[in-house]
Amino acid sequence: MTLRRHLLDPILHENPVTVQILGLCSALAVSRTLEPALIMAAAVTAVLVYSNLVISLLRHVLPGSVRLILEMTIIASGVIVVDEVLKTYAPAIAETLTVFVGLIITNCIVLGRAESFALRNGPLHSIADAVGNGIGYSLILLTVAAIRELVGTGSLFGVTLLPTLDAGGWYRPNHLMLYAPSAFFLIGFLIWGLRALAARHVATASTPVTRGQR
Amino acid sequence: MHDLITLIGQAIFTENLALVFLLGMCTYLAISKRLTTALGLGAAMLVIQTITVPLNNLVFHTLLAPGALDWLGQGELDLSFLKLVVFIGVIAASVQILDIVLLRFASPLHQALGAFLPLLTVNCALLGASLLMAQRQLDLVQSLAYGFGSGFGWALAICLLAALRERLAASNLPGGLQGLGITFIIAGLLALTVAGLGTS
Amino acid sequence: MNMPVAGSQPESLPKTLAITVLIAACCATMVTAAVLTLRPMQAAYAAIERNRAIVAASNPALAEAGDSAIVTAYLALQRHLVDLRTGADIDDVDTVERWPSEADASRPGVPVYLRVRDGKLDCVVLPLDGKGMWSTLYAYLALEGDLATVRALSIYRHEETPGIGDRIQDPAWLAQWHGRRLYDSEGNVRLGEADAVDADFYIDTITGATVTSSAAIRMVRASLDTYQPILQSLATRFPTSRSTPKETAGATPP
Repeated sequence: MTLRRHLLDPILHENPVTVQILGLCSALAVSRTLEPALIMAAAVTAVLVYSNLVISLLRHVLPGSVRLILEMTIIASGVIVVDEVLKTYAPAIAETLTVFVGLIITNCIVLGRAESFALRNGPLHSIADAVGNGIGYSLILLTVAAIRELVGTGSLFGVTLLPTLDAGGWYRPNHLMLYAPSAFFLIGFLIWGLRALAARHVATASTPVTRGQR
Repeated sequence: MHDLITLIGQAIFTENLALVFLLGMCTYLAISKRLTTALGLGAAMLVIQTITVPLNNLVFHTLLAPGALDWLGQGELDLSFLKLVVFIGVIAASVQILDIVLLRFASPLHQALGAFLPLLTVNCALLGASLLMAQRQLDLVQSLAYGFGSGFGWALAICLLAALRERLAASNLPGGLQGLGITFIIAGLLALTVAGLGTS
Repeated sequence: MNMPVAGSQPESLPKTLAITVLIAACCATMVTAAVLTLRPMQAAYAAIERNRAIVAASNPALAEAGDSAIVTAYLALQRHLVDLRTGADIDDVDTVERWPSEADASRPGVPVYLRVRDGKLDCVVLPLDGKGMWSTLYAYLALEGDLATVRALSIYRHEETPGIGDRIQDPAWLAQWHGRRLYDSEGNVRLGEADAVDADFYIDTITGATVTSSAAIRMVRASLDTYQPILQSLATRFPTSRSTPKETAGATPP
């Protein structure tokens, strides 16, 4: 039961991006088109699972005085491996992601979940928590990327759905979506919508939904 | 000299770390409720960025870059994949040392900045700027200019946001939009003004 | 930040040290193993992408072709290592990736790629490098057999701003280089001149990415001077193709 809760809660009620405000940089910056966003989401989820698992296994032996720096080392090694794997198997996408793969190290979701969950829970629950948070992050990232790519270029995953004027079709793409500010607007509206829904939920069921967490 | 001024201008405005590269967002959105706090955080960012980017540049070019270990007879070695670990280590160490130095020699300054220093260790704007420096093959002087410019740009961005949020705190907004929602939208509008300056 | 670790015992220095060293060693082993196994595959990919840029310059239709088609087309090119100062052949095969700005007195060679059909020069591909806004731009320029007309420009590598400077890779922008002339009737380099009114020489910069696209144009113009000796010697080697600009100048008015 709790395992299911650890897996499902972070997807909506405790979403790392919209509720806990964690891991925003990459969620905003690599959301221009779906393909890199999908790879980024997979990379973050992989690092999350790895770091939560390893840190949960080591939770009884990690010395408190150097705990943070050891956690950073473990996470950084995982990120380097993921970075090299991407450079090998998806080099073109790795190029468009530039420094953002490396920046998974400082993605607060990873360290945040390690500190607040993996250090206190067993490996199985930690993996469930990592997968849940990974999916929660991916959900927001992919939603934003899908809207930006469709409205900004008229296609999804590079497949044209709305033929653009340039290509002889009828759709005039909204170039705002290709620039960084649009990611702020979309996540802002997403948060508005989710909170309005949650508020209605609270009003009927009176369960606290948002929990501030840094 | 002319190039350096252009570089600083680019780093502050058209390539603003917070508003164009969207780096350091967690801190940017979470700790921008009050202007005084934002000023302290921005100043800490400016100082650390100006120190760590050139420092990382030095480390990168003496130890990690392809051919950097020529002096050891290991010219073939390319350790640049280690830059992630090394940069984050240098940043964490600089933050700690600055914390200690400020506490010992400039305690009023430490009172103003001290609380923010540990927060900045895991701020991706710091690591991001160092990685961009390595990727763009800047030399030492350029990286000093870039560190200063990008730190200043980030500080400017967070002060602007905080000032706007202070004004908005008393305004009447739809429930769900209050707080985080409207902050995102303001940040988007700020990013839009900067994007308008962008020619590359 | 300093919440107690679950089940933490009082720490002793040797134990802390031992655990730290152990974890560091494990992480180091993992990273090293990953890098050592993946590096060769990355190098192979990089080599194919370089071949792709060269082939795409000589024949833009092949830009998106499969890897094997790229390698075949690349191997069909004549590959020479040529002295940048004199235009003389040093070696027949290109063994290294080298760029004109790296050539010096001790190693003056740059690789030059020729496509020869029935003894006539079909096109020549030259490696170019130059400063962009943030980074060095690496590209290949293909000239037609007359050595005075651009066939295509293809960008190989750069670290310009994603979404802004990287638009120099847009096929639409690169397409306008095709068929542009290098020299006027006097033999002066006119291609890509800022105030060129003549459509033969005009290259449009990219709105919003002016710095990077102007840098790319500047790189091409500068390289035409650098490659003058090589172009001269190619013109003598392939006399059936039209000769170099300086000689054509008087003979064939436009």
